[in-house]
Amino acid sequence: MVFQSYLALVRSQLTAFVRSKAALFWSVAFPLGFLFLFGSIMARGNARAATFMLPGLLTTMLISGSLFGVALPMVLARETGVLRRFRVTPLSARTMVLAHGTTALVQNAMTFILVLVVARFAFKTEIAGSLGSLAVVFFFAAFSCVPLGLLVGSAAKDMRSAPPIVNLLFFPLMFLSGSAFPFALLPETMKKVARFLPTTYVVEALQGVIVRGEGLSLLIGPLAILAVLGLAGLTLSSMLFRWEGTEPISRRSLCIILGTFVALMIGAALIAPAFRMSELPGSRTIEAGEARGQVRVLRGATVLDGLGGRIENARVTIRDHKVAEVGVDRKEDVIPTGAISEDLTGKFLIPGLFDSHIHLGGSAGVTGSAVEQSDERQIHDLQAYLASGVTSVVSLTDDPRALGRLRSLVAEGKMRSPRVFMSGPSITAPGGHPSELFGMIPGLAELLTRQVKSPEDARAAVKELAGLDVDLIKLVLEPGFKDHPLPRLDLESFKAAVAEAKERGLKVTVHVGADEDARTAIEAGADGIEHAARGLSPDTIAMMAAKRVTFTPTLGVYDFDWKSNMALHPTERLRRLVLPEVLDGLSVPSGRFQAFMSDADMMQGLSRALSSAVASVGLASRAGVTILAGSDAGNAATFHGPSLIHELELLAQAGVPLPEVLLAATSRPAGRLGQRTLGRIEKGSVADIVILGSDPLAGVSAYHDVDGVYLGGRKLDVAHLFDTPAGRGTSGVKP
Amino acid sequence: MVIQVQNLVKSYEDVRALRGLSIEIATGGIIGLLGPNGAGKTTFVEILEGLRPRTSGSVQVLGLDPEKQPLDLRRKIGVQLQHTEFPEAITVEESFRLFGSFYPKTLGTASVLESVNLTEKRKADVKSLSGGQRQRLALGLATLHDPELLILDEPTSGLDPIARRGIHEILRNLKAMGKTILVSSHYLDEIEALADRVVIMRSGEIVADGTPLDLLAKAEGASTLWIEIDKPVDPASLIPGAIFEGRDGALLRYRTKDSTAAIVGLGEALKSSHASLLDLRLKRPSLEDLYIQLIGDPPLVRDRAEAA
Repeated sequence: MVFQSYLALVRSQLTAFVRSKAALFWSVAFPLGFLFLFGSIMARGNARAATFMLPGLLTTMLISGSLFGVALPMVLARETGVLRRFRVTPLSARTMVLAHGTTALVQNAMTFILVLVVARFAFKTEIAGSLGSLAVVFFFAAFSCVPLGLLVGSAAKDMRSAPPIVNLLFFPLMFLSGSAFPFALLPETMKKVARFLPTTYVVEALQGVIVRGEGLSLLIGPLAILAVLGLAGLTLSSMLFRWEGTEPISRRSLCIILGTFVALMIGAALIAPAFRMSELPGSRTIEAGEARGQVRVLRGATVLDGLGGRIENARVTIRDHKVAEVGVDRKEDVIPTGAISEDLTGKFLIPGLFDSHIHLGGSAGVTGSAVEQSDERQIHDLQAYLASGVTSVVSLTDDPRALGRLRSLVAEGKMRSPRVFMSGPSITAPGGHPSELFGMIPGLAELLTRQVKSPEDARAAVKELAGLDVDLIKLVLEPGFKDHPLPRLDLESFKAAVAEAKERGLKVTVHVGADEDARTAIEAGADGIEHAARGLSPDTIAMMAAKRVTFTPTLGVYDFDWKSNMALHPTERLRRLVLPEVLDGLSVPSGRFQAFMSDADMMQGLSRALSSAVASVGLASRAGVTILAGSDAGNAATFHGPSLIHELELLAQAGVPLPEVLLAATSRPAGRLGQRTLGRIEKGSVADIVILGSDPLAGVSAYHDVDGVYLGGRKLDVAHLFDTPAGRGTSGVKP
Repeated sequence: MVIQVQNLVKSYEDVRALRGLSIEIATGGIIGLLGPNGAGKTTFVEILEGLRPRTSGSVQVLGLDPEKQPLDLRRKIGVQLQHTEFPEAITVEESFRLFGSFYPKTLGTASVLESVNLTEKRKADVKSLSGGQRQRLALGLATLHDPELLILDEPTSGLDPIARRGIHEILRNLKAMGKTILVSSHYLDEIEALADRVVIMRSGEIVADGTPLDLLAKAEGASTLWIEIDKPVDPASLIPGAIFEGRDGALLRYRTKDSTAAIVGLGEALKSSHASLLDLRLKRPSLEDLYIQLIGDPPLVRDRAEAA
């Protein structure tokens, strides 16, 4: 009976809604107007920016639909006496409140879908997560917002008092929640206030699905808070509901009810998980001390901005360590007094490159000599990166404390280095990859891996690494080979590690062996896949494209033809970049590398690995998977610096178009790390810039042709990087 | 008994709206509730409907306490409110379907539409209805679930005579179906014509209660007699037992408690004075006379009369 009345009420309210022109305006024209207004101001044709804008816009629509769309009609129905007439039927207040809430939910859903669809076609927005998750998040969001409207609608006396109350709620709910502008831009005190608002959790959950592509398991925190607030709002509005404006609300019950609600919100704020949206993408602070008080004007070069843009005859103005201006160079434009002007006509400027997969602890040599293991060798290799045009590296499976020491040397100005991002140790199964490689040095496996037995272990390991200030988490899913099986991380522990990392706002990338490992990793929510030497199936690749999982194939590490050639016949350039102690050990006929090379079965296997990896890269590229250039340098004959350039050649050979090759080493890896000022040349970006002698979009060999490197606005003297031992001190920096 | 009320008291902050009201209403018939504004009619009716809590006393409607079992009660009663509004943007038929869903059983939209003469208007939006059509819609919605008791608050208020007649017919039909109908109204003639029992309230109390005939009998000096005769006479002593009140043009106006005796007396007086009767008009006492008698003249009129 009650249910039948409820349905009939909802139906008649929706019928009236559909017939009403005003309602149609507020739920169709108004949201679309907002979408196009925001879209044209904030997105400007950039699909990613449009997607980023979407959660806030949807939240604004939801909150206006819930407050204006629920409260005002209810108050109007009370004022005209429609509710009074319902009161003399067997309807209960609860049925009435639920019906109004449900109607609003349906109306909001219509608006929500409309905005999503139009945004998809007009602004090419792409939902990173699944539509199912999005639907669930919407339901929870509406479940928490609609009761706010019901509360006002239940309690407000008449049409004179209702609109001010609605506005009083609407503005903080919109402006403080991160829906009007990025949460991270709010002052600290406002952020604290925002934690009390349900809309803040709505934006967080919507961003999780739409922007970060998270599954529901990662959003349990915000969703639970939304559910509790919604349930409380619903119960309280049924209690407060007035059929007639003259019905008194006792001040006491009003106080109790408001008190309960506020207490719940405070409770939510206290137990709420940290918001990831509270940080602007790119939390690793860029060392800003690199160049101060300088203005450089680079004129006449062709700029490839790393975002897909190209400017011929460009002028790039660098102020301090940042790019202040990028545009076309016009002769009449004055050069600021005191500025250093450089004529780079005929040259090409690209953003400093990223190597997304390195092991700095590995020397690329095989002798295990003291030199190979020294800090000096690492510092030398860091200079080799700079000389190769690589200004950022992602260290996977290194000792975080050693890297921490390097970072502080850089911070103190005692050393030049590419920007080092790190995962710290790999999390793997007991005895799992890569611990089998570290047997020869006692304690090394413990230093470079976290071998976990259970989900609790896995969470603890992630927690520990987060405490070591890592930039991302690397997990390993590697079953080994038939004749060399290795323990593989169990699924539960794997999932636990992913979940813990997500809760801490850390990206997860996964070393995978076979296709099913990749699939497992993606399904569990991994953000990136490393290697995949046994090839990836088209299904897996499609999944990666859909979920925006990055793919770092590290092709070069399997290219033993190249490695062998380099070891036996090093180029002049290679001799300059690689320490002789490292290079010489590789060519010793009886040495480990040559012995390894003579294992024909092994070589054949590796050759197969390379061709299947190359095939996967071709497929992935065509499927639109985000490919990242990573060299896996540190492995035998995989030299720090030059191998990244070789990796770019291999990517091009595998069929990645040249413009994409550039992106794979610039804005894409920067984006993966949340760095919005690296890997690009645009106003406000950090001035990590490489000068090439020829056009990298005309031929991949251009990357060998490094004419100059700016690191944080400073021009490095590439020819003299290694003049002082291991590049210490400030030599190598031109005035 | 459909309604049993004993010593019902309702006090607002500084006003006693109902002062110990007691009444019993049996099944069937139309009960008219009369009284001036502020007499407590609406308060009384709303307590019966379970819309207002009472201060003290006992109330049973269809064996239920409206305050404690409001939802059970509202399944069994049909209510028309004084200022009724319905959802505007849906049609008449949709309104019936909506309200029908609130009850376990209804008479069916088609038959109720027919009974309130709205069949032709079933596809019309509620907002397009005229005043009389709206009141018929209200009646239809109040009777949709075949309630035993109908409580109607001024169902004909603001309607023209034709529209009122339409409502009267519906009420008579309902009465014929054996319903108990409690109607409040300002139209005394309407209640006189419709009601089987009239209850008059004043200042929160019942001051008269009975059939219209019983009540008319209680009306004092209520008949007015106008005569015109062909000879000048002393009007004051002409009719024994009737009081001369004055002249209305050529007519002499008298007031009498017993109009039959007065007319017989008039015949004898005319005969003895050899005068002939040119015109005779008689106005018998009405409910309105009793009403004025019980309630008194409106204060403004009385004050003016005293000043004169």
